[in-house]
Amino acid sequence: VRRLRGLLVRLTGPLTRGRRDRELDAEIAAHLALHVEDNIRAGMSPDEARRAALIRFGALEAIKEEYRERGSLPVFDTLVRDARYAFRMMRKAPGFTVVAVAALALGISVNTTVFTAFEAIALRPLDVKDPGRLARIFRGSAADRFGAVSYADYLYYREHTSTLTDVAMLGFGMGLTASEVPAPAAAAPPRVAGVLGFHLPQLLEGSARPIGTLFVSGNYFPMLGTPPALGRLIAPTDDVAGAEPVVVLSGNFWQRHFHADAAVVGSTLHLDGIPFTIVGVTPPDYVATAQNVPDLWAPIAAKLRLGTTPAQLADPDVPAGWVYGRLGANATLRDVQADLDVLAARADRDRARAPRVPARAAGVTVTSGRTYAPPFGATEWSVTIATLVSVLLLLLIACTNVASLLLARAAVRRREIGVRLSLGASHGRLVQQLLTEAVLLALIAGAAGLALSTWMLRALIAAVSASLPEYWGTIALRTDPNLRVFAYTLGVSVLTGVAFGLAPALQACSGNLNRALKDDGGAGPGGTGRRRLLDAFVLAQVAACLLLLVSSALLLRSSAAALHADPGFETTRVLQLQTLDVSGRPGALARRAATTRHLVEDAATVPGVRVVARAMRGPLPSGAFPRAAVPGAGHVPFNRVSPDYFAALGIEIVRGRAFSRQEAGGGQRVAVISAALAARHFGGRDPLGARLALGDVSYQVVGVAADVRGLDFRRRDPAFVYLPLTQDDDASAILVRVDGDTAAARAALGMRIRRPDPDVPVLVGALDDMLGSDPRFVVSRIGGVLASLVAFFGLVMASLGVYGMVGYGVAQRTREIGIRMALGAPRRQVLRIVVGEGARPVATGLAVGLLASAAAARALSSLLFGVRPIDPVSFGGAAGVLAVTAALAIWLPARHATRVDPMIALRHE
Amino acid sequence: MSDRSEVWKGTLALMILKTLETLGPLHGYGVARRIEQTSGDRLNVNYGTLYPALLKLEQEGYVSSEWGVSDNNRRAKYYRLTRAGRRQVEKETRDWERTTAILAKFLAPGEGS
Repeated sequence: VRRLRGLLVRLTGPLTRGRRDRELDAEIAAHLALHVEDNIRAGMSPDEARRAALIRFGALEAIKEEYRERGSLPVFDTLVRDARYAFRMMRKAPGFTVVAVAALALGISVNTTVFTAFEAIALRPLDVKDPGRLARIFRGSAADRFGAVSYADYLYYREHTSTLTDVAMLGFGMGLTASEVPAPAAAAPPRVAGVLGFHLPQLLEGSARPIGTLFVSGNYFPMLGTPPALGRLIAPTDDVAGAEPVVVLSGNFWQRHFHADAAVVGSTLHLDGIPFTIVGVTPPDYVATAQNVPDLWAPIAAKLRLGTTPAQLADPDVPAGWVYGRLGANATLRDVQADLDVLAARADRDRARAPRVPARAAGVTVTSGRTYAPPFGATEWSVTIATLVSVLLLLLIACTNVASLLLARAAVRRREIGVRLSLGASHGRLVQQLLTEAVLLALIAGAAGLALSTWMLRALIAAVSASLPEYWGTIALRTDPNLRVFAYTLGVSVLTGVAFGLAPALQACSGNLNRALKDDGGAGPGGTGRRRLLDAFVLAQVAACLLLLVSSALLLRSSAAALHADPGFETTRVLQLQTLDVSGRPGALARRAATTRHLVEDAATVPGVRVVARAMRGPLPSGAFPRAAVPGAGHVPFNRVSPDYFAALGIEIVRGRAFSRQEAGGGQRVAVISAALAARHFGGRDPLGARLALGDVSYQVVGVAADVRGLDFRRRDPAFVYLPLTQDDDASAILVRVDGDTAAARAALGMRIRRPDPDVPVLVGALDDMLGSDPRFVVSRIGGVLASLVAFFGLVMASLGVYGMVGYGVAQRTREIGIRMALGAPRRQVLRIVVGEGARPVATGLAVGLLASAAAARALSSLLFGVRPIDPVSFGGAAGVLAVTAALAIWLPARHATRVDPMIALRHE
Repeated sequence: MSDRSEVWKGTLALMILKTLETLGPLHGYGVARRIEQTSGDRLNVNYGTLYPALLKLEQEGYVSSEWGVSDNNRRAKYYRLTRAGRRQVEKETRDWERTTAILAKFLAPGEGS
């Protein structure tokens, strides 16, 4: 331990060196003075006394040196000296320093950005009290193990658990409308989502603005230890039936719409016409366990005032929200899992309901609630790892580029290094010195990269946030760099420095000393070793770059497949108007129906509009249709549509007919079924006129429609039932088929439509935009765009690398080329030699890259839709682009070589 | 010469610590003189070697130093034994006694006969 202490003191030694030296001098002076006085007292003359004292003291400088060495660690001392020297070298070559730092900073910042995003999502603890003791509780279904929990189940778990001290619910949100909300203080920032190619449906001009509200149980905020920014938060007493209706504003909503006015607490806000008292404000960007910061927080019991009936709330089959629990003392997640397994089984049995899905799948899943995202599954990990690997590849390309630069510089510094070697510097010392320079470069780049990445992330999140409809809430992912991000960046930087510095450093110190001193600039053994190393760098760059290009091409082709995907219905000339879910309070449904009726009537008068149809659900987003049991065909999705629906979407009726208006108006039990269902259910029999049992009701089949694939690329099951939309049905979607451009029609529609009901928000979007905005395409498109950005940087840097390599080769061999030409070698031959030498590592790199890409494509296959992993277009295109770029990078310097004038080349030097 | 200096370095630390324990806070010159006197002028070593040893002891926390004024009004750096230093003296003394006892047994027969 004492040794360690000594070591620590010595580590700080170099910093206090000057002061310590002066102190030692003073101490020695005092020592000598004391000794001289003693000697004089003993009878010596002053001169004699001084001489004796000095002799007795010993070799002054040797002792000082020993003292100095004791004072600090020699290794550390030289490190500081090396760093100082490195800084001097950097200042002497500012061009090199700037280029190297910029290339590395770019590579490091992309890495840091990806890591920070990953860290913020998967590792960073939530901003709540003791997040490590928080558990998430999911109720599984056949399709999804991580499903939401019903309110009844939540109450049951909360009452009976023995392992959790508290259980709270974050209920599903509701789009409400509010009066008394002032307009936003700042103009909406520009939307960039269009750049990424997805356009979310936006509010119709003049439509009511929905307010995003999250409903929480009364113990939710107390359990998370949320501090109010103003007033108080929702308390358990607010979350009982019949309690005074209260609401809490989010800090973001408060700042945006209320100018952060403290007087707002205590005032009244009408939500869907019901008065709520604002009791407090949460801190800005406070997201609790939600994904986005909502506009408002309200107690779950308030849903009862907003149209939800007690029976609906208590329905154990209706998922109501996300459940969190606080672990009791000594309880582990495993204990909670066991506890809730028993409770869930008992609750189901008590209610005597037959599980709709197999019991195993319907169980409860308990995971840690410490982080923003639940613990990653296989898919999340594979995406994360693929992303991290791709950005590391970019860094690798940057590294090899800087390494090539260093190699070229090593040639320049050969004489300096030779002199130092001949003066007795050990090889180890020199390698240490050169490595210090490299790591220092990387550290500077790392600092710049971290700053760049912090800025990039903030801009990215702001941009994405701004392109989401406002009532979706504010993205509040905390991405400020923390210790882990710092450590990652530092680690990556140091590794980078060693990676690009080691090979050139070792290379620089090898080779013949005499040659180095003579410095023929050239083709000695050191020269060929350097060439081999350069070739290896180019090979690695080309391979890594091809891998990036192929991956991004695959992702882009996959997202492009969405645009050309034929869902089986018309998407290019159809607008969808969607009235948002309003609460079921008395009259609301009627108002929504009235709004829909107005919209239909008005839309029909707009020039260019051909068909206006209505449906319970629009065709997009797909997969949201209700299902009902058909004997022998499982649960089949169905939709209620107006007779024009088929015409509006261009769905062909292959047999029989669509509904008539009379059938729709009269509520007759007729159905149109999809061809696939007809084939499956009726086999060879004629379906027309046959009866089809759907759930508890029997329908007469009047027509067969062509299959609509939708976006279900994986499970191709186009079985579908269309039922007539009756007067009583809640038709939320209006489909408008237009003749020309949807954008123009949309503008015309906005002009023509009468100002809709202020309480019914209406969204409008073109179907093909919505198709492209389907989450599965958005993922591959964003992935594709980001991957192509990375690949583009990779391509630029790799071509610079190739260019540098060939150019270096030509510059080194200027004399040789001159001799060849003087001896009569034709230009073509010179060109062939130079091009051949440059092309060899590129060709090998392409081959290696293709093999690596094939492996990567298989790993990516889960993200690809409509594209095979080994897609010839992606592979061929990427290889072609890279080959052409590389050819250009080779040809430019090669052409330069043929312009060498033999006379000048030979006279040079 | 070099062998002797190794031994010297090993024992010097203990001598310094013991000196500071007996005499209390003392400057480097005082420590050197005291060691010389105690050894009966038989140890003829340069005073200067004391200073690196003092620095090492200070780094390890066995002594602390501060500037003070000597009897004859001279500024000098005074070294003082810390609590850890006191413990170290005891421990090293014990170790030393044990070592010398063992060595004595080894050397005794050769000398006696």
